[in-house]
Amino acid sequence: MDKQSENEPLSEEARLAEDVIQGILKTRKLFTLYPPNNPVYINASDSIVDKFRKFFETNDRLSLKIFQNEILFNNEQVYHNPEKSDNLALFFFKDGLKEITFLSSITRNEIEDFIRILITDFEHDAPDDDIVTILWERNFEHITYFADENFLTDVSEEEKAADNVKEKVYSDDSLKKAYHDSLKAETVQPDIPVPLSTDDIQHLSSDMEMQHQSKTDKFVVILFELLYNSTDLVTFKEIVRHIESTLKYCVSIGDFRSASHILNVIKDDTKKRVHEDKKNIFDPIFTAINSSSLIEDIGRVLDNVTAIEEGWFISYTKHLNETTIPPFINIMGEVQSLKGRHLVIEALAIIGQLNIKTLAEGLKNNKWHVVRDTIHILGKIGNSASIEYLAKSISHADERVRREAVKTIGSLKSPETLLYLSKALSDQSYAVRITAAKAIGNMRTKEAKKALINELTSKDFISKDFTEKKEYFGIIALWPDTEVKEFLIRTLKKRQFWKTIKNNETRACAAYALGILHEKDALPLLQKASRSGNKALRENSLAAINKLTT
Amino acid sequence: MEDKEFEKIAKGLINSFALVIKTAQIHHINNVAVVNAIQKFLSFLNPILSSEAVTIELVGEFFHLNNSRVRYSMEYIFNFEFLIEEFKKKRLGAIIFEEIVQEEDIKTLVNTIISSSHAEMPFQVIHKALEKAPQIHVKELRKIRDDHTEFKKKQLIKRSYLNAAALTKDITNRVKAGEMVSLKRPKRTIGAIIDQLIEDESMLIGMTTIKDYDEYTHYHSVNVSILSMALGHKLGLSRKILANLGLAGLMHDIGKIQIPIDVLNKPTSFTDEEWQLMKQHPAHGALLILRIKEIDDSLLNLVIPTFEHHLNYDLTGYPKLRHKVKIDFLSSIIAIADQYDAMTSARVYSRVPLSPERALSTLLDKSGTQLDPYLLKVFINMIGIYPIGSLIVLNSNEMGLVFENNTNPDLINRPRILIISNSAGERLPGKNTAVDLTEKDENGNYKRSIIKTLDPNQYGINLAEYLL
Ligand SMILES: [Fe+2]
Ligand SMILES: [Fe+2]
Repeated sequence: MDKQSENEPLSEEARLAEDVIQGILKTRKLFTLYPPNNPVYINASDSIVDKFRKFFETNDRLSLKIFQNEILFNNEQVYHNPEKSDNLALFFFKDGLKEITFLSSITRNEIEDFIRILITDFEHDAPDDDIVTILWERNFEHITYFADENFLTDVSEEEKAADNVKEKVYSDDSLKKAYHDSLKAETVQPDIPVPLSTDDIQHLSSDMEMQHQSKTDKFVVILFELLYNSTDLVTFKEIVRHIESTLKYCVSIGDFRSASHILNVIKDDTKKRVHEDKKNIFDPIFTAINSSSLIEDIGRVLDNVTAIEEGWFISYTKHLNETTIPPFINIMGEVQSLKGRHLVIEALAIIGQLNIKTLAEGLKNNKWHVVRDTIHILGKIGNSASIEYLAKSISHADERVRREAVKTIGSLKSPETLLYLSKALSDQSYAVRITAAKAIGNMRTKEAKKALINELTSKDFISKDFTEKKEYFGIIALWPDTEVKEFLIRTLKKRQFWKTIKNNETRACAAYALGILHEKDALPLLQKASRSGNKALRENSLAAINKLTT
Repeated sequence: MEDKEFEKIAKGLINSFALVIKTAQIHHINNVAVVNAIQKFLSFLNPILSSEAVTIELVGEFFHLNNSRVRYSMEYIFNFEFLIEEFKKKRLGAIIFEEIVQEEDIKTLVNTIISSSHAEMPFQVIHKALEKAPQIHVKELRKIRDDHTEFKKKQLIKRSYLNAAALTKDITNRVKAGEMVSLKRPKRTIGAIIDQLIEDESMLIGMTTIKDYDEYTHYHSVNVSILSMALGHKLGLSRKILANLGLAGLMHDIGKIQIPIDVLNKPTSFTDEEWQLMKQHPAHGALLILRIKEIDDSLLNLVIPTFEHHLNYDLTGYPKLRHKVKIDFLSSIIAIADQYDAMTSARVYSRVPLSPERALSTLLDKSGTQLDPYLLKVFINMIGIYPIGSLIVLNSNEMGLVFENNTNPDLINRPRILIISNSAGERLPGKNTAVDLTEKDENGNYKRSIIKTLDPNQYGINLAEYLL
């Protein structure tokens, strides 16, 4: 049926149709290369929509006839490709698609969907489908097609079947007998079937709603029924393999409820029902769930499935062993979505308890956020032994890591906590220093107080920024005792000839802290300071007085 | 207009119009029931007409309201199907309302639609009558359904049916041989059947009266598949789920290949031991399917009904379960179709099958215990009181076979009949005549009515022979 039309120029309509096909081919290519939110993708989509629109300015339908190597519009060849590969005509033709029609009211969504169908990798993603089954299932409102079902059929098979049935035609005698009986038969008045009530319809509708939910629950029940009913070892092993693939499937669709259900049943139920010598048959399932490839799958699922139930995900991770810690740390670096990262952290907070040392390997990761999250997880676990691993992180290059480390060290009650926190007070970053100071404040011990006063009285402290100094004094005011009171009064009184402004700022901080402490004895001193020529000292003293007198 | 809002109004509009015609077929046009129905219809129609014209058009098997397809939904499906049939019979392609209309205009429209019923050219009658109601226009249905297209359609349906039977046999053989089975071909076949089912359900249900004694299981599987899909379609299930249902129907008894053939074909009743073997076929089937396909969503929808099709609504039946969980909806559908087809087929252990109506009343006895009572109601409504394939005797003493149900539930006792013998009991020469029992004579009385039924199986009379 091939025909070459090099010499005849195409009619205007056919040229527009050809444009559409070329546009589809080009868009198909771009759709494989770019994600839908990419400008190139959007442009490609704009352009193909435009080509369709141009065609439909003068036509209300675009009907294309498909042959092996060519596509015809109104008997004019608008596509030709003699090759086997990348042949659009053949792509349709091989599945028996003979004609495809686009109607002028076709929407942008339909055009995009249609082109996305053209890039389906049938072999891998839809082994039980072809172009026709997919078009059928989509049921596009403005794309119709005609497919030849004959090529699927063995006609002789069909005729044999028909002959088989026809052979049994009844005789005239039986017709006679029927007629004879009919004269004697009783007259009937059958009941009219009961109409459906609103209640019936509601029942049915709610059952139908359920059809959109996954049926893995029921499937799992059936698998275990089959398992307990199996009579020979070979079948038993086979069903265990099906259970394993089901489990992997559940994980791949983010159904951690069914996945943990399977594992629970294996652990609890099978204990009672399965004979001791068969129990090791389940081992491969546990090898599978702990394999790094399945953990990598989880990473992909966390990014792609939005409806993951956190509770079930957590129950699932409780079945995993410590070998999954490193792959989980890896996916912590890969997962993009916020919720996904949160879930990985929750998982590691559970599995990590099995081996803190392995978890701490995450601190050596070259992605700063993995290090930070690992620290966070160690903090959640709260084992004071992890402080030895965390110590290194307080000198990590990234400020965000150091801050997390300081916060976490502060939360771990260990003899070394104060040592590391004090060290962090001299961190180059303001945020880290303040976090360290606050963490020391939260300790509330005598030693902590001492460390803080040491810092406040150190030689360099006076030069710090006013805000920072004020934060520190706010923290020391957490200890309402004489030592602190006396220290503050001493500081407020202190005068010096050099760095006068800086010193007055420190005095202002002391005034501020005395206000927090409600230290009435300091009132005369504060009143005096409130008349100071230094603005910071004056204002903070006035504020403190205000606090003390109301 | 919002999409949801549009859907709601569109469905309401078409449903209320169907009700107007239905009630007017039974009562006089001025009867209060008809007038109420018209008022309801106008309450949908006139608000739209105040801003734009309204076109109700039949495109293929769907109504379009002002160029947008109106979806099917469960609560309206019987009325939608009825109205589609009315449009087709009267060759109506579209009704266009230009401006606000009054009760009288609708009465004119409805009267003419009803009175055109037995006219040679119903559309022309309606068109002419509407000169009295200038706000309303009609367009003729584009594709003329002449004998030729009717014949071609029958051919295609026959082909799909036999194709499905051959396919089931092929799948069975492959599974027996332990080969992998691709579902591409079954999916294509099922897809084609669903399209035909949407267009003409009666013809396909008629095909299920084919009961092949020798290849019982293959034909039975196809019948179960078709009956299940027909029921699913009545419920308004999506195409995807219908396809799942169809495939599950084809596969549901696949487990029987593991039952020794001499047990399967045993002419006398089973011993206890043999029964135990038979009861294993759902579990065998589930396992076989697990072997031929990778796990995914559609596999679940194959395995579950195969495993559950002999479990009862009250969870008795087999296989015996350790954990009792509510039966899946698709399994319940297959179970009803399965029992109906089995009862109406001659099998090795019960040579004389039940007549379609006896089968229905047997099913009704199981409602709420063995079978889902809600689904069963829909199924019985679908099959009708004179199921397709019933052998009936008319008041004219003619005998006939029911081949198409009346889509108006109030006229369900007036199906379309294939006359097989005249009033003297003689076989009709040549082609059989189809008659519509709603036809009336010049005095307004029905020309023919059913007065008796006979069991077609007792005489070996089978509708399938007329269809092939
Ligand atoms: Fe069965
Ligand atoms: Fe069956």
